[in-house]
Amino acid sequence: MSEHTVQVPVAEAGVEGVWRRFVPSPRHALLLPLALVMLTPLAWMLMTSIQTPDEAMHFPPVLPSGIHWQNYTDALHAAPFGRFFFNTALVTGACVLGNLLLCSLAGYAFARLRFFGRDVVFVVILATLMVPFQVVMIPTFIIMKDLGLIDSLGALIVPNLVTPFGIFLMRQFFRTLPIDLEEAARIDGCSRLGTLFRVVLPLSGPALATLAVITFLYSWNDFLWPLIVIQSDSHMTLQLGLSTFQGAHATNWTLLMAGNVMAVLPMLLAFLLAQRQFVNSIAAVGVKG
Amino acid sequence: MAAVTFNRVTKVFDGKVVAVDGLDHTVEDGEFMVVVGPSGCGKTTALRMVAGLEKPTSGTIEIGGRVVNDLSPKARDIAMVFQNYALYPHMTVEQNIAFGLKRHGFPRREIADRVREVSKMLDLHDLLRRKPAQLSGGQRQRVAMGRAIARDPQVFLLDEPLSNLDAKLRAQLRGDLKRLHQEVRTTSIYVTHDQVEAMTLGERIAVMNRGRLQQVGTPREVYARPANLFVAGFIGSPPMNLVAGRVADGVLNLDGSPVGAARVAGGCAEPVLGLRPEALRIGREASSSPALRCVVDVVEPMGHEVIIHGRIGSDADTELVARLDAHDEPRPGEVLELTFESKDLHLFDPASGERLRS
Repeated sequence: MSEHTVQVPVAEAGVEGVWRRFVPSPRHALLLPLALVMLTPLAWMLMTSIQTPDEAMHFPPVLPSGIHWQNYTDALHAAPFGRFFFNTALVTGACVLGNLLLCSLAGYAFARLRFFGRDVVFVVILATLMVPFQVVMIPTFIIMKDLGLIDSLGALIVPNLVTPFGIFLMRQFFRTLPIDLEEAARIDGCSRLGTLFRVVLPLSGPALATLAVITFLYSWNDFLWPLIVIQSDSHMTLQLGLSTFQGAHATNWTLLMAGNVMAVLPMLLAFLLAQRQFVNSIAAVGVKG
Repeated sequence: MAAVTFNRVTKVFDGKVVAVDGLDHTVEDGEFMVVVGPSGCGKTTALRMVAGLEKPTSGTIEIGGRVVNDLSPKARDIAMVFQNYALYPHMTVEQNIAFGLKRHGFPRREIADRVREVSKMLDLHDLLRRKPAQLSGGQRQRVAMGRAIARDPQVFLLDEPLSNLDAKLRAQLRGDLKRLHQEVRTTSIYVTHDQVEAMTLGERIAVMNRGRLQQVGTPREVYARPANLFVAGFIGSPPMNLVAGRVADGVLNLDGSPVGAARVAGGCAEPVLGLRPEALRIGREASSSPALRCVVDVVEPMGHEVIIHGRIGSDADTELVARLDAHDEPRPGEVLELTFESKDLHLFDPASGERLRS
């Protein structure tokens, strides 16, 4: 059943254990440069966000002479960041909740209910994973237009409320749960939905967390789709708002980076909190697919 | 409480696999019926059809005189104990027991009363706050029983509930189960592949094979008068010796040794003869009982008895198992004179497998 093995931290062995962690091994020769490559852009972003515009444009790059917190307040004044933040949070929250609920329902149907054409429909849904977004962009736009959702947050939420990946993820997870539990629940008097909500979902924490994290990251970072359907400032998301610092002729790098730092923080936080689920999800989908 | 009746119940999976074939049988009100058979014989499918987890392809199932084919599991008022217990891992023992009561809309106070009563009956009070992962196999089994009993259903369905436990615990829980049934007297259907469980627990035993009911009777009847070759070979441990017999010159012979008059074979020229290992004795003096010369191959001492595997017949090529007194101290290579009473001889038709004499 859903017992996870808890990874015992190396620190349990005390100081000795901590030191054992830092014993260099041949792997580090590859991993350390890779880590550096990953961290450099982040460090640069952080550095630029506290530099003066002159320092930021200097080549070769120089360290900041002091910490210019001014960039952050300027960025907040240059654009309605509070609004962007609220919009992004609203869209992301709605997409996460929508995916958790709807992908669970669909995934459960594909995992456990017997109905005509179930497997065919499932394969078709899976196949849509292979269609790049650029292909469905215009049809989706037209649908949004017909629904009267263009230039509203609804256009950002509705197409992302349920995703084929989410359905796939939940279905694969549900299939690993012992079916006896669900049969016991039905004999105990649960309906199908009752079984899902009272027995199956409480046992699906890892899968739900994974789906939440993935949806959160995707939704928070989405740029192209908001760019297409949103025009007015009041409905812009963070990613879209940041682009206002990039003009056709000049880019205000210090403000852009200060804005970026603020936009990235919640995501970094989410990743740190749910890092294990995030890594597991990639492994789980890869292995059990 | 209620009787459970199968009326010509058939279950076919995917249009080709016949799991249960024309099952006609009634489990009486308050009875403890054990359904036994090898794996894949359809016993679990039959149980699941009573529970409402499978739908019969044809035929009807009645619980308490009411046809339940189209009723949901909830509406059937049954409780089931699963092979792997199927306790909800995210709930405590108390919540597990109370779950079905809540779903059936029992008032709060009654739920608390019943949980208390059941935990007293099954000695669970110290475990009520624990989760299933913190329990041993035997404790989980008791919680699963408790969950079933708490609802006080019309019928208990038990699907190999002891098969995941070690032998010692199994023997102990067998006794507990029997005591529990004598206390609550709820109609129970117990599915197992273990014939020892079937013999010890069942008030009646239903033996199934290949989706068909082979014989129904008390443990004593099924053991003493197996209806066909399958039941003869399945019930009893070690199993009954089944060897080819031959009628010649008015005498029934077993590998050359006369074992009875031809009339017992009921006109069958080459009946299959069945002899329980425990029916065989070492012949100490000349008697009128039929005797077989047996060459001992292997001796298995069991403490209070020994089981010997040997060979009989003129060419010593027919294998035979006998259960003898430990004091007999047979040795490998030894030739024994084994006797038995004529009444212990079972005869079967080799073609149909049916029992020949009554």
